[in-house]
Amino acid sequence: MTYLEPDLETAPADRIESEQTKRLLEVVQLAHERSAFYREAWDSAGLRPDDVTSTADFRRLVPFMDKDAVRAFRDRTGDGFGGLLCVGPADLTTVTSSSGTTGDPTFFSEVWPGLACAPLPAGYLRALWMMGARPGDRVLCNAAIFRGWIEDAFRALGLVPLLVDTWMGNWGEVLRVVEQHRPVYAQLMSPNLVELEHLAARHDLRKLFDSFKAVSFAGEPLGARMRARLSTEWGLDVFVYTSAGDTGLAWECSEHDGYHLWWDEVLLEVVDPATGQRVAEGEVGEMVVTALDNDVAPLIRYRTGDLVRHSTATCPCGRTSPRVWVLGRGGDETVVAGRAVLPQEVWTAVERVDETQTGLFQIIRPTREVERLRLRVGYDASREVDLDGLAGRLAASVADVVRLPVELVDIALETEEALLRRGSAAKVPRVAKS
Amino acid sequence: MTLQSVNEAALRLPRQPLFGISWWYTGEAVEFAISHEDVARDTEWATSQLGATGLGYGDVLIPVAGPFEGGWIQPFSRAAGALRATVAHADRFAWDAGRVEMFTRRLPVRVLLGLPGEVASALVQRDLLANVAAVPVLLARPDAVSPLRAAGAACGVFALIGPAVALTTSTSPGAPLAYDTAEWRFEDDGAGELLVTTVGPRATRFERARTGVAGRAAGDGLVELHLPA
Repeated sequence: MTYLEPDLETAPADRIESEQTKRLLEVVQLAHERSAFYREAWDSAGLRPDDVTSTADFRRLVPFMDKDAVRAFRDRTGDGFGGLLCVGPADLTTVTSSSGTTGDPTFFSEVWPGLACAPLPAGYLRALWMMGARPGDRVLCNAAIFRGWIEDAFRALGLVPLLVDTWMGNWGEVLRVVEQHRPVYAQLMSPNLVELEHLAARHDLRKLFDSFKAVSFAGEPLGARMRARLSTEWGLDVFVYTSAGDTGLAWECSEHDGYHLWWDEVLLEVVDPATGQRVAEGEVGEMVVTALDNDVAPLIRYRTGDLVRHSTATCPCGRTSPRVWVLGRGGDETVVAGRAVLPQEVWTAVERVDETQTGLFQIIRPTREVERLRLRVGYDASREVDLDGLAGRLAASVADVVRLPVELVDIALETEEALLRRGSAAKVPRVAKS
Repeated sequence: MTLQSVNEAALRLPRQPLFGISWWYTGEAVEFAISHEDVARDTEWATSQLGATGLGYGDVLIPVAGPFEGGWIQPFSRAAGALRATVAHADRFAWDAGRVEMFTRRLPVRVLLGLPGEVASALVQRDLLANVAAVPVLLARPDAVSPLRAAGAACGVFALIGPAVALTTSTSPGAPLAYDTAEWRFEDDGAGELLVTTVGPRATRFERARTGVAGRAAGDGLVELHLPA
């Protein structure tokens, strides 16, 4: 059985529609009654909650919002929660915050007394079950805590966390623990991959990892070449997950084809970024989400800035929650000599080259439109590297993928470790001003 | 909906007796299992310690930690919950100094627990210390005490000693740290290293085990640490 909650994970479309509509109407009433942010925004837009009587009304009447609007409310009023709270701040169980990659972190406010784990860790439960983790199994703990004690979710599922430091720099010790305790699951992030690449020269990772039923990968997309290395060479079944637009988590399933957004947690819309009109399934649009299971600080018609394709068709895995395929962030698009370049394209080009296969890079751009494509790329310093030759091969690879003349591509090399130090929580900003 | 249902689904599964398996390091790794009962008793002690600081409804606790430190730190998170306070999480790295500062600027933080040297130094270097130093109860790890006090920030001390924790809210240099005598006994080996013996019904027991921490026993339930300069 791969479903922790089969009746919910495979719910039919009519049930999804009716339950989502019921929750939408409740959330709209709640937010207008208790949230200063929504009351102000909706009153100024002339929205009366009683006018919203269906999902169609919701889509037609409720205005979009975004992180900048929350930050503006926060900075104008001094309310650290951006006016989103529908409960008193003293009633919060936990406050976690975003990675801060794009500015001062914003809050995730949680109330969960009496439950085994907080909302964000709870987002792991169905996924862990799907990946094959079962009571009594041992699992490695996560590497970072800024989103809370994820290990509470492991314990709720009857798993036993191995509490060893899994941040980068300690994976020699982690491998010792893996050999001794034979865990079935771990979470990996980009910094771990850099270190494992180095350790692979001295350890038989395929043998060490043969106890794993699955690993998850989070923080940013996983490049195709690195994914193949993890699965083919190290024998790992990798499940990538991402944020469901700050309303929860969106996980790959066993099909490894898109991320599921749980229908009972979030209403997904995909719209034209310019017009706000819905786009057809399969077309590229901006992901807009509404939290259906958050009466504390719900995001409602929240524009994520993520460009996605989507499908509501039942997945071959049997789940009926919609899937998205993330193409990048709209704001990350750089126009080089009139040609639009996305970080994902650069990623493909960088990981093609052996010395930079971990895919660590930054696009350096003082403005969105530039005349030359300047890249800062991290290379594997544990091997002998001809830096001039590497820069030339990288420039050629990038020029080929993004279809720019090679003379318009500038490469600045630094070690992977130096580049990682430019990042914040386990990821490197893919676009930097300098 | 999701949160309630998925928690209930998980809790229908068989429970496991262990909270986790953890390690401390003396040059060699020392492994110990932690039971849920161990954590429940540690939470009671942590509740008494945090309660004595005045932490309660309307206040915020920031534990600065890594997930692997759950055996030591999570009892304090749970204690904050028992006291109806709010917990705000931050990581133990320099890159998270901004998050620690941001929380102290935006939330009514009463206790900041486990601030490590790396974060303390980053706060000082980035001129972010003012709001952090204004937190009523600032409990620094041993390697953070010197940079904080040098920068003018008064702090108590919070230390992981082998499988146990010890703390003092006193900001006086040299103040001894208290530990839970129902669970542990500390002695020193005569050469300046603390040794730990299990007293309570822990999942893993130790008898005069090396901790790798420099200090001396200072009377019933107290230890003095040799703090890094």
